[in-house]
Amino acid sequence: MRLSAPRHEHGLRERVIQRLIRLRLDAVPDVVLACQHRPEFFGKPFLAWIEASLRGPSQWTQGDRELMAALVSDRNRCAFCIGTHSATASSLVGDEMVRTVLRVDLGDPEDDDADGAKISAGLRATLAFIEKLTLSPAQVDASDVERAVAAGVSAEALRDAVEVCAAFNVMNRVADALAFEPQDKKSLSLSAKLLTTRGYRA
Amino acid sequence: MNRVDAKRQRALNGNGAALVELAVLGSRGRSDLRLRKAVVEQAAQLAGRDVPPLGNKVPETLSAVVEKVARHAYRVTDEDIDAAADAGHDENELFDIIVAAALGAGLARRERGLAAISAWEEAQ
Repeated sequence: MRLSAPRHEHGLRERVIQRLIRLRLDAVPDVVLACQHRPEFFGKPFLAWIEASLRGPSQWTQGDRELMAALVSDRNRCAFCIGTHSATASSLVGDEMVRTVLRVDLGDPEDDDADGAKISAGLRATLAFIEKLTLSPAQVDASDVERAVAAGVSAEALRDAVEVCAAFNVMNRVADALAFEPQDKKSLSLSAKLLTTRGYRA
Repeated sequence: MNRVDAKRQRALNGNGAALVELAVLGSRGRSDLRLRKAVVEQAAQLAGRDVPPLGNKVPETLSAVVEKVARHAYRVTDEDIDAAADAGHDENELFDIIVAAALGAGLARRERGLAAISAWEEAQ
């Protein structure tokens, strides 16, 4: 990680948690260190936002929302977050679905991945909506909403997806600007397990 | 999850972003508050938010980092951060600026998405 302040400046409680993590992993993931640096300034409220948008009540499953997180991270080219959320989504919906979501042209319903998993029309339209919101936010308007609604998505479900999209547009930028070190296989598999069983509130 | 928890969760679902904004623009920062506000605004503007022209300005020593974080954070380099540090911005200040820039980019996308949904609803 680029700055030494988020790497080293932590309170007592945070240092205890980090010590517990080190019992199981060679290194504490950078996302934990950054969120635990002055947690009241950013990490604590931010993780509460992530928890509410990825694990709170919604018409979307946790798997759907982890796919959204992986997609936004992919389009922002954030290697760290692609790793964590592909692994987490994979453990919920399977590798094939994650690969298909990241590979196909979401906006083109004709681009069906014959060998891949079948993405439902509503999820696919919602992923296309948040892809556009990530890459060209100023161009998003009611006609994009219309396309998702035509695929069977409710306004409320689309709002839930917007929260996931916005939160990950923040996370990806913090991760890349601070150059979070991508997690190794062991660390990814433990993260995926913790995130699916306990969620985002450390 | 019981019903009270579910209700609380749903309330937070709408306020999560606002609570992050309150914190980042609150007393726990280690940088000038007007600067943090200016950074959030500049990053949000790059994602299409209309910003009043008389707002605070991001100093030149930080504008390159702020713009990169907002537009394509994967392109930020060690040199970008070193240049800002050499110009006199300390580590804690830089942490604040990165978080504020990332937040502005996320908030503007949220506003844009929610506004499009509301516009669609009003047209029905």
